[in-house]
Amino acid sequence: MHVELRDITKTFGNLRANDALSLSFAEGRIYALLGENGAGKSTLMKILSGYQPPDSGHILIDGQVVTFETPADALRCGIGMLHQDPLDVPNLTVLDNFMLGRHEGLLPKRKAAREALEAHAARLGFHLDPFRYVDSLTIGERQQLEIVRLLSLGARLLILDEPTTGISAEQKHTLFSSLKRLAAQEGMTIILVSHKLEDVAALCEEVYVLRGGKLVGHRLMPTPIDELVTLMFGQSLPRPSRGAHSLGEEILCVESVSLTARRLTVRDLSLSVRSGEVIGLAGLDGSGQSDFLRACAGLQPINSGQILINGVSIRGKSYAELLRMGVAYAPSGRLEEGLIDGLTLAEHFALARDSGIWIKWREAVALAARQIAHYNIRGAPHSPVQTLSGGNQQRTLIALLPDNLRLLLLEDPTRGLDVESTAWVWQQLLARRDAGAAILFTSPDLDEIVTYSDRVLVFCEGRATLVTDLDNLTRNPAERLGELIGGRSL
Amino acid sequence: MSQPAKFFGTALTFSGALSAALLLIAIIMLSLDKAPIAAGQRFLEGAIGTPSARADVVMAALPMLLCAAGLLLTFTAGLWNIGVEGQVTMGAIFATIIARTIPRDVSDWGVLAALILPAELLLAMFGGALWAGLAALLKIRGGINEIFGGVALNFISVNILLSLVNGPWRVGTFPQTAPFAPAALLPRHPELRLSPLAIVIALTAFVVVFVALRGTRFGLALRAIGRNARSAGILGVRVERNIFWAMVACGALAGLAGAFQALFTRGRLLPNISGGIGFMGVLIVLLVGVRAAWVLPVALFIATVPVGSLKLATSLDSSVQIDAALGNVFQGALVLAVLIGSGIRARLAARRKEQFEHG
Amino acid sequence: MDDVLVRTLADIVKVGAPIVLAAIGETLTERGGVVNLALDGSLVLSALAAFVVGTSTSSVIVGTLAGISVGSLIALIVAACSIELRLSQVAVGFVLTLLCRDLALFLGIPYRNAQVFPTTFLPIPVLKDIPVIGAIFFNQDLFTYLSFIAVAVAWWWLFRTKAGLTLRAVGERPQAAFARGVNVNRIRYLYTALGGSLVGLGGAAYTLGVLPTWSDTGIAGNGWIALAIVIFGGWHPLRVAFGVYLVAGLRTIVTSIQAQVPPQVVELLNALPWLLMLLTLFLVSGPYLDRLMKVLPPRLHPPIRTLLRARPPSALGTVFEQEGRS
Repeated sequence: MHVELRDITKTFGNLRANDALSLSFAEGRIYALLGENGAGKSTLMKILSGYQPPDSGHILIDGQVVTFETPADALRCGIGMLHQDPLDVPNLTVLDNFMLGRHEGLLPKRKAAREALEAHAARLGFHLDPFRYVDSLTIGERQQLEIVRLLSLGARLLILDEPTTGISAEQKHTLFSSLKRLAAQEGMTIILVSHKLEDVAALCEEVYVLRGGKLVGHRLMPTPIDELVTLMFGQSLPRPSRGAHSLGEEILCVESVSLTARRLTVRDLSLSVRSGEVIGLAGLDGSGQSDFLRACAGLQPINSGQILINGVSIRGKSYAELLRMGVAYAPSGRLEEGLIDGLTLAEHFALARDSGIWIKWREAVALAARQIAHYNIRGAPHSPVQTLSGGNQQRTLIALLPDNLRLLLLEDPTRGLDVESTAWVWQQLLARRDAGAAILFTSPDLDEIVTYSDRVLVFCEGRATLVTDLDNLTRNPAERLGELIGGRSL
Repeated sequence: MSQPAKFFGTALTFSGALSAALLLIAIIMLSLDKAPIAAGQRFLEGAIGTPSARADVVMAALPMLLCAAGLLLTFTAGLWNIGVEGQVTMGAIFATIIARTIPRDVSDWGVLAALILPAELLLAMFGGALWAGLAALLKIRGGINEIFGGVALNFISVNILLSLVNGPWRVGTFPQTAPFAPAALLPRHPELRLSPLAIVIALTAFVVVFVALRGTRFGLALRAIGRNARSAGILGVRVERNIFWAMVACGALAGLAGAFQALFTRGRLLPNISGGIGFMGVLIVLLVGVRAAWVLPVALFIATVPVGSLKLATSLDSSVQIDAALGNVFQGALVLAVLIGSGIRARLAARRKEQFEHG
Repeated sequence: MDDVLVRTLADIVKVGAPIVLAAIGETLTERGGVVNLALDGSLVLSALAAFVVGTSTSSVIVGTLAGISVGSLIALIVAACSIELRLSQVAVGFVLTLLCRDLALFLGIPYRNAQVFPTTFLPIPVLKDIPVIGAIFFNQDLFTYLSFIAVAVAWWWLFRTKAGLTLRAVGERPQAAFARGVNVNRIRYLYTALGGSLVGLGGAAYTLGVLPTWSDTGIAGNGWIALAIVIFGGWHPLRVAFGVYLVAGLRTIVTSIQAQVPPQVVELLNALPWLLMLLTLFLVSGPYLDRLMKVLPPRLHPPIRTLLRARPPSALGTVFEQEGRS
């Protein structure tokens, strides 16, 4: 099957997400669609897989123009998409998920479906228990289920959107070798959507690079990484460095804590963090790292042990009390979770900083105006926060953090941000660190962890292991961490 | 959209909805061989034509105003306090605990006599707050949706009420208490069926709620919770605590409304003491949306309905005589029409915006 | 078995029939992600419609069809307001429930206790002679049989058919169902209407079966019970039916001892079903169940989840929008 995109254009408001893109995908080859966040990769793949219609342009399969109304139409033509957050139904079993969307009569043939599931899984080297609930699987296993399902429905072209985020090195290895086999032996076309160059180098044969909605390059692999970087960003980026800084007194002390995460219990976790230190928490999705952050913020109970902040036990303290002690927590992902639609900037500052019964509106407006100037936010104190652009919303969130922070607990602080915004966020966070705060953060992106952490706490199978000698590791540290989170010992 | 255009749109929605509801009522009346125009005139005359009718409307509006004021707090925080009916009932029951023990003659009570009414009202507020606090705890500690918890507590409060008026508190052949002594009742205007004290209390309560929503951290926190509870928590708002106090404050006001029903409207405790005013409070809040200031006129408007339809029901002219239940139908139809009308308006606005962006 | 006990059980099954029908209807509706809060008013109005049409045509079937039409029409209003206008399902449902109840009370005035509809008592030959079982289950009226069928078919449909799997997916994660070729909003219209017709059937079961007359006090309130039992029953037809019979049982017991205890005690006992539901929900939807699960081996989790599940369908009450289209 040969798939061609011809002159695809898609606009959202004033934004040209895809600008007359023409790409071609041959049978049996593995492609990468490379670009930073906001380059237009996701939009293009949503158009190819039937989630969105293009404003103009055509999709051709073996020379025939096709139009898709729904993703199911696209799948009938052999195009299947695996989403970064697998689009399955968590409260159903693996088998139910597999059967959903299969073309059968009223009564499903459970036995036949189960055999089909097991046959396809075996062919790819995956192990899936048909009777497990999907919400008890890892992201990697859910991806495997989706791939099996798409193949069983006759997908000939498989789109994978950032598939290596949140899976272990081992799962990544399995995934890549299966994909290679599918392409080589069965003539499948694979498109890997990614901004991770090492994944592209390990898997792909051809690369399309997008920037600002335009196609800026088409290369055959191997191509030097530097060249791809230049294509993606328009220039080579220097690798950010942590910079030298001094450590202060102990801020967070964790003594043999045991806490319960979604699927497992983390036992005997001890850690001491000093002012000016950045600790990265690595681990597969659901291994307890997010739960640990929440426990430090007083948002989740621990089973045993104790957590001290500035020498004071946080047992029984609410997050609001800890906030007053200089602890701030920012939940997973998109930094927008922390702003409130419909409230103005001044109201946000009043809420975050004011603590009396009455709101001193004049002071709140003055504070908002000061922060707007300081953080270079494009907006006014009376602008409702939803009218700000995404970048300005991120700035607002950082501006809302209290002064005199002692401990910052961040869940995936740069999820969904482009390179420039990521750098800005870290610049602000490191400024807080230099002012004496300690930072704990989780990220599925091991490169981010390696880049910014002084020490890394690796969560795997109920244990948390501290890795201190990041700079001395001879091999690629991110790769080493990838093996650790997948359960191999040092 | 500009401010005048917005106001015009709202006015158009409301008048359209009002016409639709009136049309429905007219059709029902015509099908029953009644004269809608004449009935409409009789209704208006009965509701606002005489000073005594106007006094009735004001007194009917007060408990609704109290409930609506309390519900403004919970709705702002995104809580569907359907339990408001039960909170009214509990308020009436708790007020009765004192009211039924007051003798006809309290001339020798001295200063104590002046404490009767405050004690009744405070106890009523406590009763309503207790019931609301229970619903809040069920939500916060047990994860039980406030709608379901509220409905259950509504039914339980009715059972408690029936148990009392059928049992220990029953006086006479009907399931009800004896009429309360004058000293236990809200003081009445010498000529009109009007209680100036009740008006002062209700207006004060409304103003307090209004100011709390506008100018206090509590009000701002409730707005934040209603729009995005998770973000509010991240900004340092104690979500559960604020939810609890919003419910309790609403319950206290609903309890006060229940006391008004027992100590003025009915003058005794009897089954169905709330008369559905809690739900009318919900309808009022749904009508005004977030525009808190509108609660006052809308409560007065809604209060004309039961007063006017009662006059129709007791009319001797068979061409306009119609059961008062039709008034409730009108209220429901009006609110539904307003909801649908504003939904259509919002959709049209969204579509216009989309076309603008793509065009 | 004791004769009185058998008669009591038969009574419970009969009295519970309308609530079973309504609760099963709501279960199907909510499984698709729509909450029809208009259930109570809908039940009352369809009961009136069934009675008026049934008595004027002297036909159970035509009367029942009238009830079903009213129930599904009201449900469709809720669905349309949610899907087309993006209005809150709770707001629309709540206003509708008051409106329908008041409309029924008003329109029903001339029919108040006017006449009794001839019951549709339909003992099933052979089966009714099975000892105990026969007397309880097969010596009943039409609507009671329909309530049994509704429970069994709803269970089979939800958990054994392709369409039921699709319905569950729509209520849990509509985006995923859409990606698999399901027309989410059509499914929601369909099951809201179907659920509404079962509510209407429940209304007809009151005025043409259980009562069997029009009464403005005997029906209102039972819709709220049905709504609560859907939660209590964890959106599972068999557990929902069990919940209904539990409540009906408590009520029957209270009625049967009414003569022996003072009225104030009877009124308090009437609150028992609600107390029972609050208590159970408090225990299963709070953190307590999670704590229990953590102690038990993972192999036991799936059956316990089915047995004690108290989590609503994840997409309940939400609007589904396909991105990039309008």
